[in-house]
Amino acid sequence: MVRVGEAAWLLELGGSAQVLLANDRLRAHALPAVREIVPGASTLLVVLEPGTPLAPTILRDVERDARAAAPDAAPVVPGRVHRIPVVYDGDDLREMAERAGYTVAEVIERHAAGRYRVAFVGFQPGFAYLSGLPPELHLPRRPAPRARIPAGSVAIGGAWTGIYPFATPGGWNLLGHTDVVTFDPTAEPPALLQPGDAVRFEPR
Amino acid sequence: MRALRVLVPGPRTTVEDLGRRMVARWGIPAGGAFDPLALAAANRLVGNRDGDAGLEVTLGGPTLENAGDESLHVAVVGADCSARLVHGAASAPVRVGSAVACAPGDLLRLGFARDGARAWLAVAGGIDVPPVAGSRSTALAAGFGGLAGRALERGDLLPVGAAWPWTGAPPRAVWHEPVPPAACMPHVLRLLPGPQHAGFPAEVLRALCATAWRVQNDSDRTGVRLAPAEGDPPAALCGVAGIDPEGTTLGAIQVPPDGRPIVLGPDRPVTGGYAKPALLAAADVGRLALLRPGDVVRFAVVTLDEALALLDARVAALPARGRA
Repeated sequence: MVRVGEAAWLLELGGSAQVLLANDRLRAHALPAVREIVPGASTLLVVLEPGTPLAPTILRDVERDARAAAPDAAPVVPGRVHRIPVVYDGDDLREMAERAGYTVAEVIERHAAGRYRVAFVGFQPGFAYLSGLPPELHLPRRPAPRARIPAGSVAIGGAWTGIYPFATPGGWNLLGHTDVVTFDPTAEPPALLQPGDAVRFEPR
Repeated sequence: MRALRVLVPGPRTTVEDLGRRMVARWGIPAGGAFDPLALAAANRLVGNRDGDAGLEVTLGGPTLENAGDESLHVAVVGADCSARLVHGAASAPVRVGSAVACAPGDLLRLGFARDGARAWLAVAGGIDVPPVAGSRSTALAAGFGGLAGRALERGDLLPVGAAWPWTGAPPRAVWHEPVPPAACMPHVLRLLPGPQHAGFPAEVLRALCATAWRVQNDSDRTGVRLAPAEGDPPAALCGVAGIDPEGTTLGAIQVPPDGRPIVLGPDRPVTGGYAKPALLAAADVGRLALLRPGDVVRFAVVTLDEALALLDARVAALPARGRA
C-alpha cells in the first residue's frame, strides 16, 4: 500500500478478483472519512475527505486479507447478472478475424461464449472494463484511433472488452453494437454495469 | 424570487460545487470547482456553506443581472476580472474577495481575467439547480449536472436558493490570495513523488523539475497539458511505459510516452493507464487552476510534511465561516 499525496492511499493487489474483494470489504465499512473508492485493474485507490485522518490500519487489513485470497476468488457481494443483446456488425470484425486466425463467425462465437465480470470502470461515465475475454481475442488497440466511435459500440482493447456509453474518439476494435443504455445520469444507479457485476453477450 | 439572468455567458462558465463522492463505481468524474478552497472562500464571504454551488469562470467573465425581487450578496475570488456592479447609469468596481449586495435590476459584470485563468463567483443561497448524482457540478463531457449539463449561455436563468440568516456580523471579510502576476513567471508548483515513483529511475523526477514547462492551449478541466518551453521533452520522460489502469487523483501528473506531462484536473477520467511519477501538493491545486495557456511553470519537490503544512496554512487563511 502506498500513500498518494496528502489524502489518498493506493492498495496494491494481485489482479481483479482481489481488487473486487477489497472494494466490497471497504465499502461494507461505510467509513465517513472515505470520499471515494476507485477500483483499478490491480489496485484500489482510496481517497479520504480532506482533513479527516483515517487510521491506515483498516486499509492495511483490507489489503492483507484481499491479497491472501485466491486470484480467482469469488466476490463477497454477488454482483448483478446482465444479458446484453449484441448485433455483431462491427467495422473491425473481418480484420480481427484475420489477426486472430479465425473466421468472422468464430470470433463472434468466442466473444459471445465469454463469461465476463466488470473489473473496473473509467475512461467515460458508465464505461465498464470487462475481464474474462478469451485469450485468443486479446487484440491490441488500433494503431490510429478513430475520430468517432458511436455510442453502444461493443469493442475489444487488449485483454478487455466493453461497451462505449457515449460517442467518442477511441482506439478499440469494433465488434458490433447494442441498444442497451449503459449510462443514464438520472437513473438509480446511473451506470448499468458496476464492478463485480457479471455480463453475458447474446448475438442478435 | 431569487434568480440571476445570464446576459453574457463568458467563454466557459459552469455551475460547480465541491463535486461528487462515491461515484467512481459508475465511472463518473469527481468534478467540482477546480480550486475547491477558492469556491469555499467565496461561499464563506456571502454566508454560504462551503459546498454550496457557485460559478466557475474561465478566462473571462459573464455579465449577470439580478432578475429576482430580492437583493443578492455576491463575491468573486481567484483571477481579477475587473468586476463591476452596474446600477442604472452608474457602476462601481467590485474588489476580488469581497462581498457586495446586488439589488434587483443591478448587473454584475466580469471582464477579461487579467492575472489567471479562472475565478469563482458565489451568491448567497447558492445556485439552486437540481443535484444529479449527489452534486450540482457540471459534468461537461457527459452532459449532465449544473445547468442542463452545459456551460452557461446567453439568456439562461439561474435559480438562487434562499439565503441563510446571518449568525454573525454582516459580510465584510476580504479574502485575496496573491495571484502570481504574469511578470513573475515561471510559476513554481510543488510536487510530491507519485504512486509509481518507486518504479522510476530518479532521473524522471529530476527531469520534471529541471525543465521549464509551457501550458498548452488544449488544457481544460480534465487536465493542464504541458510541453517544454523550449526544445523537446527530456529523454528521461519519453517512452515511459504505461501501467495497468488505476484510479486517478486531482493534481496527479501523468507522463504519456511522448514525454509531455498532463496535470489532472477535476473532470479527469476516473481511471487511467499512464504512469504517474509525481503529483501536485494539494495546496498548489489553486495555482494550477489559475494557469493560462502560454504560462511557464517549473516544479519543485517537497516532502509530505511540507505539503501538509502548506495545505494547513492555506486552509487557515480562508475567511471565517459565515455559518457552520
